[in-house]
Amino acid sequence: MKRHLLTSVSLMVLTALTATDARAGGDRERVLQRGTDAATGAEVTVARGDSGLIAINVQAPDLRLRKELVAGRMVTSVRTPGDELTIEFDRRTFTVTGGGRRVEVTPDHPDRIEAARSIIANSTAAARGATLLGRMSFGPEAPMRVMLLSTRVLLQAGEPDETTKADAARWVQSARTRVRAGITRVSIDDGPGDCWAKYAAEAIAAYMEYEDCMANLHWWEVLGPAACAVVYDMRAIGAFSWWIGCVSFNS
Amino acid sequence: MRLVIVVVQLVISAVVTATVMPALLVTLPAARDRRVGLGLMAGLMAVSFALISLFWPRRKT
Repeated sequence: MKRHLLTSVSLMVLTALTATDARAGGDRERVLQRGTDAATGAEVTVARGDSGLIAINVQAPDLRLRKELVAGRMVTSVRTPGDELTIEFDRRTFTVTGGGRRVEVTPDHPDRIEAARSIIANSTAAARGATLLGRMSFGPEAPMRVMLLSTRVLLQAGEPDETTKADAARWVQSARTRVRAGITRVSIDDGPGDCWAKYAAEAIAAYMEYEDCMANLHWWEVLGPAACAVVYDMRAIGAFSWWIGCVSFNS
Repeated sequence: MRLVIVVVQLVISAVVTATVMPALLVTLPAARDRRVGLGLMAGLMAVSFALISLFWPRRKT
């Protein structure tokens, strides 16, 4: 029970610590990505603040979930019309606020974790947030999948239900497969059109290099033209074979 | 044997296309557009293949 909660907390602390160092407060946010989840109708936005803050907002008709990462601190808040829960943590403290109570777990008071867990477990906002996240239809390869999955475990007070466990197992399996495959395309724009643009850029660069090479040859460099041609051929053929690979069927 | 010859002809025409294509992209800026460029590339490869097929291997008379 505690182990799941601690694992989730550790994962989030790690993410928070690796996040950009910045100061919170009075931060203007710029929306980087916005989408509507097909399964729940919830609007999901990813925003970045001037100070380096990264925020994920999930807005459903009667629920608002927000996850903020700033200056090594992660804040997760869930709001429903009748309840509100905030979970914060940084290098030293894990704080849960909800139901009129506030519990701060520190290295000096690790025993408070049970009290913090009970606040989460008794929060209707947390339960509804976890249910909403569970119904969302992000694919296992969506970058924010792991973030929302860990949030779901956290909102279930370290006692993930069977669906959460199954989703986590699926994500781990998918991640392992991707690692095994060795190649993961990270850009959604990396399609055949981009293959052509990259090929054309490389081919033009190869030809320009060949022209420069030929123009800068001295009369005594008798093998120079051949050398320029060999380099050009290698580059041109390399670019062409890369393009063939780029547009070919592969998974 | 015929199949091997066709494969070799295809490889040679691909190499010719790969070598000529950069020069075409520089001299014909319109070819940088994907649709034009791909058409040009396909045409170049077809012409190369046809010429290579005509001259190699030599037919016995």
